[in-house]
Amino acid sequence: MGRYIIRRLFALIPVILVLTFIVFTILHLTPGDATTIILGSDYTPELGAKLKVQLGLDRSLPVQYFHYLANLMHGDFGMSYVTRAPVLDQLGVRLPNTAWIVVSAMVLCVSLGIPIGIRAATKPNSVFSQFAMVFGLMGVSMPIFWLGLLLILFFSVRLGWLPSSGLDQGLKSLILPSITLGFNYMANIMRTTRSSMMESIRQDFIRTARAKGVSEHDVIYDHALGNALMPTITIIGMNVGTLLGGVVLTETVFSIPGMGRLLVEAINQRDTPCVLGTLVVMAICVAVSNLIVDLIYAYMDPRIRAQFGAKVRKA
Amino acid sequence: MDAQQNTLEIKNLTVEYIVDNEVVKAVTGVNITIPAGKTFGLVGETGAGKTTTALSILNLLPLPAGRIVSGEIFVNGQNVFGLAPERLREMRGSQMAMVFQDPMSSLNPIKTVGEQIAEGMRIHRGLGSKEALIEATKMLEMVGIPGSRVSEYPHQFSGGMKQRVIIAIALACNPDLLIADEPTTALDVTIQAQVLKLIRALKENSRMAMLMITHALGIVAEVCDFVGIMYAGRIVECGTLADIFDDLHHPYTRGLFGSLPDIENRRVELKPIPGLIPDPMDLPPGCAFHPRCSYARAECSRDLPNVKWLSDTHYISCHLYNETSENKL
Repeated sequence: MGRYIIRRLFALIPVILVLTFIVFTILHLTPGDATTIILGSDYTPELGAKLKVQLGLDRSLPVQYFHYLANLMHGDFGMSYVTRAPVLDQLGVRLPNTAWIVVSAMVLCVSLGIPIGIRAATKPNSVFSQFAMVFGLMGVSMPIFWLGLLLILFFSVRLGWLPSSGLDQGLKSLILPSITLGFNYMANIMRTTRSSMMESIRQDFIRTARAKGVSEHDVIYDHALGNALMPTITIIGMNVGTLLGGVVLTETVFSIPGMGRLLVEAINQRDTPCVLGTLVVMAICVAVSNLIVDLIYAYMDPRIRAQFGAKVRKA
Repeated sequence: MDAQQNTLEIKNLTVEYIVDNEVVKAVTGVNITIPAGKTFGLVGETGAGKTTTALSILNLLPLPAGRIVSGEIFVNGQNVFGLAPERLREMRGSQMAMVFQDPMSSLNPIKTVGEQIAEGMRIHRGLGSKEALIEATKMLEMVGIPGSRVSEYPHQFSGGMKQRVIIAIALACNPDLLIADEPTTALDVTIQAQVLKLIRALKENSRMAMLMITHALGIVAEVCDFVGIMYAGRIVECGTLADIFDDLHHPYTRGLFGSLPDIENRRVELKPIPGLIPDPMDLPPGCAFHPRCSYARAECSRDLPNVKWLSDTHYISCHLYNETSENKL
């Protein structure tokens, strides 16, 4: 298992290479560069050229790229063009805020989505199930920014219950952003749990369990759920990427100083090191969460565990 | 017969499925009685209603499609349909148990075989996890699997071994009634023989009654005391093993035997029954077998045949014997 984890982490290297290369190229191809944005109205060709040398932008693109990679390998994410502070420091400030929203959205979604999905599957013709399906459809089709604005309008402006921006009121200020960010995610979890549960309940081994005299509760939560959770876990893990994408919008709507807003600002300012740093961290998050999903798989399903080369007893 | 004497009594069972708002008559007016320690073989083609009959005994028909229209089922004198769900659950696994048809899909893939055998023991015999696992190991050895494999998962077993595990699950609480739904159909012949040997050994060592569902007459001859021949949801001929094997009366029963190869006389051509079992959504009028029956007469397509008792143990349902009991085949 340990070797497997290490192998998977090494697989991150090509991902980061490709990712940084694409971002580098695209930012290079977009019109304008950091110097024009930093200097603004003070811009003169002389000042511009001087700043370019300072920032290392006078070198050719491949040289810049390899220079960046070499630093990255030492854990150096470079200096922001705009603030002249190390990118890593900025990330260190922004990352916790984003982590708070993402983790609370995940907790909220998993703890609501799975039970609702199970309930909807075990009583497929109930009013509850119909309601859950409509709710789920809304969830997958409603854009984040619009949902966020509606929530602010209702809970902050109309009712005045919850703050409309920032994170300075503790848990209270996490509620609206995590609902906004997680609604789509929860709907996906709910729908997946529902359909895989319905599938699982129809299996022959469920009938075997019932024939043994297992109680209905244990049939559902022990026998059926254990098998039905695999697709749900896939969705939970796979959508971490989508969730991080959603963070960009959520943080913008709720003016939260997190990585998503940092990314948007950095792109606007052509702050290449900052963009790259944010994206590399996000890529690592996605890869690690996918790895965790695979490990949970192995924990839950003995057939997959066997493939991981865990000890298999001989007959 | 007195209900107390018989482990299983099925009285006039009729079951329907509602599929796409159409009524499918799966089982019609079936009567089966099995005394303690005896084995009843229910024989018929696929789709004859054998499995539906079996699932009705455990009251495990697929819902919401399946519906018991009429009839009663008594297990150890208790009416299965009249029981509270909780009481019924207590009976399942402890008084009546079932061996399912498909060993590949009937085991939970994420639980060890030991857990799956032990589960019933924990529920019905009040054993703790450890004791139950020890008992499960013994059970596994009884069905011929080394006890050391108790903590392995179903995917590590072959089909025949999985079927043995399923038998071990069914036997875990010494049920009074064992329902075996084609326990050997999914297995290859050598394994079939092993499983049959196991079932015969069980029969000899206990007072367990057994309902053996199969379409193989060879298996019936080996393990059964009574035989019921089922066609399109009805039992068309029923009797002791000798009644059916030596003195069969019904043309369908004749047809089933005609479909078996004769090892001693290999020149004899097989005489398969022409045609297919009818669509249960659209059963032919009269005797459901008449379109395929070479003895069919005018009344066969008009009226349902009555049940006629040929002896104390042997009855048939066929128009050929309206006036006579003399074997016409």
